[in-house]
Amino acid sequence: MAATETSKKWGMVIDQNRCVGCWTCAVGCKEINNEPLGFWWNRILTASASEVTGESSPAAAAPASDSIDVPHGTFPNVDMAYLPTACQQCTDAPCVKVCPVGATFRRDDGAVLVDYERCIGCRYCMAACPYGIRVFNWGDAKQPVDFTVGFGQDYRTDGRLVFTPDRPRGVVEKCTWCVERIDNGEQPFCVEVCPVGARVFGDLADPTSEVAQLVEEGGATQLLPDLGTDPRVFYLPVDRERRV
Amino acid sequence: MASRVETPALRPVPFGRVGNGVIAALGVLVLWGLAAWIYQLTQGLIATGMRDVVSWGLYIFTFAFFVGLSAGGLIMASAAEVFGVKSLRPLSRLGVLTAAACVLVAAMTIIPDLGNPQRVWELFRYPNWSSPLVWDIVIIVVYFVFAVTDLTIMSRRTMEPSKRAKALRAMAYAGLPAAVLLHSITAWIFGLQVSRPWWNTSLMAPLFVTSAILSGTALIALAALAARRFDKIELPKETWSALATLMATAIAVDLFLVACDYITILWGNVPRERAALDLILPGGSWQALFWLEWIVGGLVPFVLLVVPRYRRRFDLLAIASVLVMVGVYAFRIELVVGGMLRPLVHLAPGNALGSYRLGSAVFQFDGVYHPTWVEYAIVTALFAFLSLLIVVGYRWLRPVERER
Amino acid sequence: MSITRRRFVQGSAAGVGMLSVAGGLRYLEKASPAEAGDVLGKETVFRTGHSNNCDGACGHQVKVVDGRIRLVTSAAFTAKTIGGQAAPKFDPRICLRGVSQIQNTYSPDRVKYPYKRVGARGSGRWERISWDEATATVAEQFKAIQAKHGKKSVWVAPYTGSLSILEGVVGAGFRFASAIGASAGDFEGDNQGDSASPAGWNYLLADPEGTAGGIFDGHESTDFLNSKVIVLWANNVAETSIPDWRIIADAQKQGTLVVSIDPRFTPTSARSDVWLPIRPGTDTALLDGIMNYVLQHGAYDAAYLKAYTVAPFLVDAATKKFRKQGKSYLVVDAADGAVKPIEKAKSPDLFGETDGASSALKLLKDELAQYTPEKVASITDLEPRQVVQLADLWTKNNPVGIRTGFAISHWYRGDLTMQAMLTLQALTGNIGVHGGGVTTFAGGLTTTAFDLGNWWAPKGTEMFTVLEPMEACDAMLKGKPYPVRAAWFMVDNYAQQMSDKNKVRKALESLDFLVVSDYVMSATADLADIVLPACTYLEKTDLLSSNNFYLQYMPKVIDPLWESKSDLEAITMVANKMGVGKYFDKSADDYLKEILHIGDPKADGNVNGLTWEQLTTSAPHLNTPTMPYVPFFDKKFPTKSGRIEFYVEMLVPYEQQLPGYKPQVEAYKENPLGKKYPLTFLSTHTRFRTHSQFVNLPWLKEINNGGDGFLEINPADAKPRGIGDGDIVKVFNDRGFMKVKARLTEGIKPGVVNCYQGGWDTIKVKHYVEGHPNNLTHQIANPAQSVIPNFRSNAAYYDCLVQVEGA
Repeated sequence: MAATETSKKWGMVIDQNRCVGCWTCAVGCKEINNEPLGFWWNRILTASASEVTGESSPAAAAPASDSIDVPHGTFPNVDMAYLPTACQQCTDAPCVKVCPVGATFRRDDGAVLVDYERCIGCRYCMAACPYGIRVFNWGDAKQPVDFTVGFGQDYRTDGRLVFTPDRPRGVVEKCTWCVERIDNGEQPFCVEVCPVGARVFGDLADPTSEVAQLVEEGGATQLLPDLGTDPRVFYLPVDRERRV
Repeated sequence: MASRVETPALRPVPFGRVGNGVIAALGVLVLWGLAAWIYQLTQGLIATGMRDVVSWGLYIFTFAFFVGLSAGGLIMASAAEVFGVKSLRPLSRLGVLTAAACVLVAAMTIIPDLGNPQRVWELFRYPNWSSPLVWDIVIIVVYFVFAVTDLTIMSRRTMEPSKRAKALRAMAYAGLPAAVLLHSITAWIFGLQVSRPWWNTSLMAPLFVTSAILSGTALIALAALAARRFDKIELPKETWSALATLMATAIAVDLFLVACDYITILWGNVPRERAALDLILPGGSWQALFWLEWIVGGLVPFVLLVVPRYRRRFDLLAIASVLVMVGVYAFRIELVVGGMLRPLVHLAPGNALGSYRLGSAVFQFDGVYHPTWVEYAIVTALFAFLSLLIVVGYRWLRPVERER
Repeated sequence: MSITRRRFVQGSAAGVGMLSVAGGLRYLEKASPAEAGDVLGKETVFRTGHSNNCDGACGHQVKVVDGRIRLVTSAAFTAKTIGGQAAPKFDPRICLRGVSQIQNTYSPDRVKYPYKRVGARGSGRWERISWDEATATVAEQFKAIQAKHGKKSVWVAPYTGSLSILEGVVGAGFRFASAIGASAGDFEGDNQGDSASPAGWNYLLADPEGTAGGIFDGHESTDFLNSKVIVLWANNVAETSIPDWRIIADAQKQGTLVVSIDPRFTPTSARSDVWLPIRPGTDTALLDGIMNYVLQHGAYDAAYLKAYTVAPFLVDAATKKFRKQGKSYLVVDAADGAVKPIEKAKSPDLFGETDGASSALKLLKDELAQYTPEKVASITDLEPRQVVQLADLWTKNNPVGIRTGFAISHWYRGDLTMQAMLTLQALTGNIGVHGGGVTTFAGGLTTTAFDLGNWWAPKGTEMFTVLEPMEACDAMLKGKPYPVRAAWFMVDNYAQQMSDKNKVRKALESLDFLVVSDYVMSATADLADIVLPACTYLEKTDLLSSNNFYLQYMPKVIDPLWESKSDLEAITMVANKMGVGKYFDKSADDYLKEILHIGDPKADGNVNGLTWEQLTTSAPHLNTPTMPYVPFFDKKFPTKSGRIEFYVEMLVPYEQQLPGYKPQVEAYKENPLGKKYPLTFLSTHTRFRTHSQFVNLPWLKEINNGGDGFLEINPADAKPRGIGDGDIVKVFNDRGFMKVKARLTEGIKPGVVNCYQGGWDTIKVKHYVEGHPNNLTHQIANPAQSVIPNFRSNAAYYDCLVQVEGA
């Protein structure tokens, strides 16, 4: 039970120039969190790289298909980029605002978490989230193996249960930024397993950290920035100048 | 000093075999719904057709619908007093009765929608004041107490008439804004959310209030028609006429507001705003809702309520009232589902469902929602219970005065 | 048997998974209640290598708690060689398949017990038997069949399902084959589609006579950080070798230009700087065009050509062979215009000519002169300016490294394509230099670090006879070159993954006896007489050094589940019953010590100084002559001339001594068959499985269309056929057909369709609506490859024409 780190200001940057849509972070997330079948806290969306559509933001162009890995445009002028999408850990989180019992709350370090013992399952947070990243335990968890995998034990912050490997029915859950790991000096698991180094996680309050530099000078963008949710997850958009 | 007026002792309306049969049938539906809810408690909400993409369904449509009925009832009752629409006066008590019954059942409708209903007490222990749901709980409680108080005052025969009249007047003046607030707050549950462009319009509260008036009035009309048919209550022609006029006006205003929304979206042509509307407009996969709202619940009843030949016929008034309720319910469905069919971030493969069935896809690109028998049973039970409350309340409170 | 094994395991030394009281049993019962909840039991962490078939060769850190595997994540590699020199940082290395391995090892689809067939072959009716009975049957049958039809009539086929040392592609199966005198399936150049380009590699860079039949090598993946341009030629790194993409991306950050040449717009193409959607099968023409451009513009590396290649060597116009004086090759000396041995020439003339002979480079230039940008464009469906721009990358940048996938080798002329690639790299001084080369496969298995000779043919035995997978079918069906009447498949899904599936099925059905070791009921196991339950990489001891130069000891993390056994154990049991048990009487660790010559001062330089402690407690890099590893860094080539022989004498009988374009055997523009079957049929590799492994893993199925296969088709081809997205279509040619759902995408060249290979077509599980991609492919062998015995036949999966229609 680690105490909340109040001096940190966590942030994450995902580099769309490196991400190749391999889903390793998404599957790794399932492993570390013992996620049931049918649950994906993290999804890899097939988006446009904006070369063909000219859109400015990663999710702005209409989808090319309902299947993944299908590019935008018309052969041979096509483009494609991947958008790993999980909880954006918003600074002004609509989910926190609407939760009637305060089960969803935001820590000082920026992590937005769900209290498994308080959630009444009204799913208002799911309606309020613009990114569609929350999942609900509609029934009992179905697992591919009959033992717990991953982190494997409960984790509390300030006494509140924010991770449990055996899901209670009827509560909402989502990416926790691997709170049990980051409180222990480790990186979120998606950052650790990304095979291509597309994810960076660190302290935005530390100007020497890679995340801080990427956000300040690297041209990092946010998803749906006009909604004012001010996420702490940033994306480095595809550098269109490189394309020959 | 005014003399104490003696009013005849309150005698319950006698129910014949038919009446008791109806009560029994409603009771069976309620029990059936209860059984379905118990089943749902054993399985979890996976027994419903809701999943992560369309995560609110029949329960929430019905909740919003009942709140609307409730607000409408009280608005109508208060308007009679506040705006001096004398022709509606005979229906005031009926309006308050339906308001009380509807808001109670509305509150009950939320329970089956909760994943952890045993934690509902937390709403009172840990309320999060920024949440429109908490505001709604507050206003529902206040409103219910208010409506019951109003009903008590109306039904107390031992109160002095002038005092009673004064009290009722005060209640009416308080009731009107309370009712408007009730349904506006319910509207804001949706309307304040930036996550769903289909919801995020300032029109939401006016639209809800209008449809509340519309459906609430229709409910009262149906109750009054039933009283006429089964209890031989005769009401003045002006009352019926006022009801019809009120409903027709409400239809017009309602559709006007909806049309404003459509025009704003269509002309602006912003893709994320058009996403939901394209599914609902004719040609879209959910166009049935459009037809239900505009034609079945709109144009047809409007004609029935406006054309002189039709509006004075009681059977057509009944039909119009039912159609109006159908149209308003369709609007509720259209609202909630429309906001959830196309997520803002709409890219392949879509959202995960949160449930797993061998052989079925785990991701859903566009929302799909097919309610299950459990949801139908529970919602039917709630309608049945509401009917029971109104019928029993009518029986004991005699809310409609006989014409003298 | 199994009880004895359990006791043996409990008594063994450290490195074996901790067994709790309940953990001694197999994975039959539910996890005990004590495991749920807050308190963790005893936790042990292992480091192992993932030896599955993708050549990523990642390192896995595996956490075991109370006898169950709880977490698989990326393990660190030691950034030092055995001898202590610095080596590149290689981690993190893992991908979505790696983090799903718990589901693979604990899958309900595992074969739990040995089975014997009851009922007709392929009917799916089995009787469970004991290991004793199973191995006794195998031994009896092998003995009987060998007695009747000759020793080689038993074919042992371990394959690439495991790339580790003791099992699979260089594993104990070969030792067994030598011990009983059987024939055996594969060698380091596996040839279910992966031999054509290695053959081409040898044409220029290795003399088969001097290299025991041929070799194959490549640059260490980290070496690409040294390239100015990286050309990913038919190499979908971002799906097939995902951790290597980090290196490519790092290179991009430094300013390296990355080119993707692929008829499909893959995730690799999406993140590359250039994408050239070439007509599949015409790569040689494009290479010829680049070379022609380089030659015409004088942008070749003259010094390099003179020093390291046969460029100046005179070729006799009549014999088409090099002109020699004794052992010396003759050249024209530009200093005085005279013909003399190369050693004596002051200034060998690259374009020397004399009476009846020209230099090899002159011949090359003449041959390639016709490949103008316009002509190349007409063959490859690219634009002339694209050809020029691509060629200019070579004229303006150095070094240029080519990474080419086995996709090139899945063509009849894969050898010629590789030949052309290497010729281009030779022309531009890109062979044997950091950042250059042509790399498909590299790693420890290509070095001499492992004493495979003694591992496969221990003292007292003779090396098994090589019978390549594509030759085996004819041996089974026609008895040529000798009859094969029995087979043992290990980590090999021959019945599904080999081309011309219908022919393979006939061949296997004709066998007298078929035994299959596998951990799922694969299509091959479906046809077996005896099925032996194999175990996964987490349940056995082994060593991994494939496609990278790190040594990854693989300890047994958990005991084999149910009654599964490692292939080594299974082979040992059969060997004992066949009287050759003395070759299998050591432990896995002992074999590894032998293979690596640990403690032997005369051990190969690559592993000299390695201690057992070092091997089992770290993952060191081999002692390679240069870092990162570059083949031929010393520019000494094991060819007849000691130089890069881009004029390939041994191919004169096939008119392929120079890399001029030749059309493929089936999928080429002018083929009249194209009127009936106008579409080129590819069956590429997806990130969601590794060949036919991991297809059934629930997490991977969730994100891969529920596990259902689909046909990628461009709307330009789909619309005229009335095919919509999601429609079921029939894909067919004269060899067979399959039915599958269509997926419309603009990311594939019109005229080309693709259905990911590896999906199952077994009795119980079908990932395609009907049939399988290999129903469409063929086994037409390219005779030119016979000059390289180790790579003499090849399955050209992509060289395939089909028609598609709505079903």
